[in-house]
Amino acid sequence: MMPEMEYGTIAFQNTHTAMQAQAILQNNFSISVMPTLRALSMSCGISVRFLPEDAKEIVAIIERELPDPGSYRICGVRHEGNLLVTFDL
Amino acid sequence: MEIIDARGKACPMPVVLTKKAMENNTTLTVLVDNEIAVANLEKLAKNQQWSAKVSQENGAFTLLLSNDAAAKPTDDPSSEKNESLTDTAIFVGSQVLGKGDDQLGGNLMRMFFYTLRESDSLPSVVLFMNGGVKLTVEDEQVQEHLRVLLGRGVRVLVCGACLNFYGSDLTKVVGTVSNMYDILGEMQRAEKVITL
Repeated sequence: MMPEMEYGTIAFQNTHTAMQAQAILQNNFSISVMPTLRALSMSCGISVRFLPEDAKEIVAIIERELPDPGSYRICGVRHEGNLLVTFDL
Repeated sequence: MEIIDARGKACPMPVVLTKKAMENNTTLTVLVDNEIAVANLEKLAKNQQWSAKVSQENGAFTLLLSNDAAAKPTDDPSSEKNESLTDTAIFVGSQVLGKGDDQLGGNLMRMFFYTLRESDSLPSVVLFMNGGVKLTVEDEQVQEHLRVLLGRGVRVLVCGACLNFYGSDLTKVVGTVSNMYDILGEMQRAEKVITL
């Protein structure tokens, strides 16, 4: 069961992995690129944003297609009042 | 009444001729043969507080313009819902942000507009020219960000000659099809112009 989220985001260790993930996902999912949230401490500034309903499928695809689990981080995002809450998926 | 036949004349000539004729006339008839010219002339009329009536026959357009002193000043819809618009214009002359790799530049541009739409400090206007106009027609992500910005009161002006050059589908433009007069005017009016 996925926790409640407004959207999901994937942060990457480097830009090339970000673009690789974008290429993998863009034809089948409604994604957009966004700057990496400050709350997520990854070095590359490009993140991919996705819809909550696609989370399960996208997590499975990314885990399968990007073999190095250290090269990315998949999170859910929601607001609690003015606070932005991120949690790993 | 002076009649200006601007058929077959490329942007911005219909606007140039009409603007000049407005100095010495109170009513004008302008003939043009494309919708961009119609839109630009309507905008010119609005800016000058003239009224414009458009009719179309056999692919040609006739605009009846009159200096209607009683015309009410146009209400800019943006002024009502404007939140904290700064007196800044952002000029986008390319589909990509910066020089270097175009794929990276495309992503940086999308991220720029994503970040801008989330920002508390918005520009009053975003101006698109040359390759930049493609963002308003073809790039779904940037288009979505622009819709949010429009909803927050930011104006978006897109160069009509550039859309025409690239053969863009005008029905897909997010923003207002515009011309060099308005775009330069916005740059001159703004306190600060940020060029991407």
